[in-house]
Amino acid sequence: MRSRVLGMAALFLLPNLLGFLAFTLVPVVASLALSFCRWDPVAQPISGIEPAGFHNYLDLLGFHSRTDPGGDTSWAPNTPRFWEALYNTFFMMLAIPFNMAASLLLAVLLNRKIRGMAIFRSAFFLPSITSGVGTMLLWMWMFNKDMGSINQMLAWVGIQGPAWLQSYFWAKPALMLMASWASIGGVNMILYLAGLQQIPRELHEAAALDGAGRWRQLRHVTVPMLLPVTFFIFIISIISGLEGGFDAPYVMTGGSFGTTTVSLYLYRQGFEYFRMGYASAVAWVLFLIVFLLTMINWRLAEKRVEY
Amino acid sequence: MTPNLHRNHLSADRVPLRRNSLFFTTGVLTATLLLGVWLHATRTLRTPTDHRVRLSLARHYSSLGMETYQDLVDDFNRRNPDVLVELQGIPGSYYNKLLVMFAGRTAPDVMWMGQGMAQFSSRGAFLDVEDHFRLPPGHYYESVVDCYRFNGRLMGFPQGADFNVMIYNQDLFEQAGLPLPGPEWTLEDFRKAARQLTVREGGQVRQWGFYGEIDPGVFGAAYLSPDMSQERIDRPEWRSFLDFHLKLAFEDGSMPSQLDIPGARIMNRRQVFYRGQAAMIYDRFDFQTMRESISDFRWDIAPVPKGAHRASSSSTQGFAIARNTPHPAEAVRLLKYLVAPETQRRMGRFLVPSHRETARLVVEDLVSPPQNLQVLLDSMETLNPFPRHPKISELQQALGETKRLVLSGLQHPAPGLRECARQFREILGRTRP
Repeated sequence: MRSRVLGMAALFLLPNLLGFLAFTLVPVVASLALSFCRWDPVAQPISGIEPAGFHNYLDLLGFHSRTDPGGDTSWAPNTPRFWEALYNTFFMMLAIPFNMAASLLLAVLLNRKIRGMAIFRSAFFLPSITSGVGTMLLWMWMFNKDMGSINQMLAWVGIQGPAWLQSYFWAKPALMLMASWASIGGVNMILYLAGLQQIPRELHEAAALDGAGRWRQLRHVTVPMLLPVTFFIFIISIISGLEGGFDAPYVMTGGSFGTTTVSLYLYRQGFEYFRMGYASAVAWVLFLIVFLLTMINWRLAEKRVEY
Repeated sequence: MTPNLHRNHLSADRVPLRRNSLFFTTGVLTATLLLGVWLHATRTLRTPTDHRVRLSLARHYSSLGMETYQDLVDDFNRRNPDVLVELQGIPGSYYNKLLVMFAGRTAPDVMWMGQGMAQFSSRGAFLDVEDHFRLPPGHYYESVVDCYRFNGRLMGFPQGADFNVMIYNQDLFEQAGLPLPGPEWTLEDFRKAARQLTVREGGQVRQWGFYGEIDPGVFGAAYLSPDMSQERIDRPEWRSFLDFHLKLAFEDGSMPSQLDIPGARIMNRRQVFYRGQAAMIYDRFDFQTMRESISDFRWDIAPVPKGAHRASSSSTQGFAIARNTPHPAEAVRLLKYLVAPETQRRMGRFLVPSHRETARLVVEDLVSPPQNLQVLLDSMETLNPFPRHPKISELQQALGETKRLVLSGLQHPAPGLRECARQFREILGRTRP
């Protein structure tokens, strides 16, 4: 009987298991192996893969000494582009706390029983279900230096707007602004809304009886009660911040003006220059960074977050 | 007690549920299997009745040329009843997608090929067609044909070339009382004209004198040494190129700097020119689009101003055959048809043919504007295509980033070029992937 049940379970699980094996587990293991190899899939068949030891990792993370024309010697990274991409990625992640705070505030505002609230909630959620590339093209027009609506609005108050997407100073903030627009009313807000509805009404009533105003209720009741949700959103945002950041720079700036993120860098190495081993090494270094940051977050959260 | 009850409750329902599920799953699997077998069978059964050799021909998708290509394919299919060519339009990053197709062993048999030639040839992607082309000396533009040679062997063949010319608004020149650009036009003449043609209103530029980038070859600058083993970046020629453009952008204010470019990824320089916001652009000559897009003013073309050298930024258009095509003989037949002088003539709206006599005929066929069509034939003698180097994308990206930084005024030319040269050396030094 037990074996028949197991057999049935296996039968039902089989399609998913096959998909997982073919499209997740095997590629992940293969990429780990490839990160210690050299392989150009256009030029070489699979049998032509050459072992490279730690060469790709040294290329990626190593430093070398360099002598300037003036005779000064200094240390320089073997691949400055990777470090730039890493810096750009972290820079763009600076928007995460702001986005989370804004999502929370929006969720608090939308957690009221007002006529037509469903319309407001849908309106704020709309950007996260709209086609990504379509909205990016729209934002490109909005960021246009001469004809863009953002600079036109700035001009009304006497400010000459910059060339948002053609400037080393403004391109990253411009992409962050667009990402914030898409994410503030998105899944984070929905999670916060769900979290808010789980907070017992009595806690707010008790706080109100003790004389706490709305701000103090938010600070001392709502925010602490939402800590598990906040922690979850934070972890997910960190992971997606490190792994994401591909489509917007690819479409809007082509990675120019300091907007190449690690994922775009990885894509270029793998699928434009066909350095599969090196690209795999980038992917694994990225994984290690994500893993380490998640571990640190988890440790910190253990002390502060109560479920 | 509760767990038992729960178990009993489940066991009461389990048998019919499981049986139903089993029937359903088996049914779906069987139906899928039968559908697959039927689809495969219909395909296999249909094939024997069609004895034609199937070839795929890929080109980048653009609404403009697709119809003409389809006409060519239909014509070839008519003339060759034993072959059926199917045209495949690839939108977006053409070379990149082709490389992925090669990596996945699903490359087309014959494909359009331009400056990406070396990226593919160095990876052994193309069939050597040297023995299929006996070229009478002097009949073809050698510089264009050479773009399809790798290690001295022909790995494809060109239809023709497309290149940049100076495109100018004749009305604006005449209004400013400036002489029209001619063959003896120098860089200084050009700079003066750009300055005079720039119009400001309320502190804002209403009309740029020039929008674009003069070919670095005019300053004698090159990416690589002739044998392509050494970088040629950290040199005075590149410094002159950058200084000249910095003067235009920041000293004269006659050209938008990288910071001023109005949404470069949305509105390209040709659109700026069409709107009358730039008096001159140095851009790819596209006969059909330009004629269709400009009706408000008179325009013409001129050669690039004379500097240390004559050079026209150019690309080539040709075709190559996948090395692993199962039908090499038919693919060669298609390639020969696509690059034959009569086909080149049919493509005259999109390129200047690589066959000299056909080029002359095509240029004769074109109607003005532009008036100065001789520029097209002259430019064919001074083409300066990107070096056919396997790592050209990486090199272009490194140089592009340097140019952006320097021409934005964010980095001085000297350290910028030094860093770029270092990157070139790093890229060139990497002999394996």
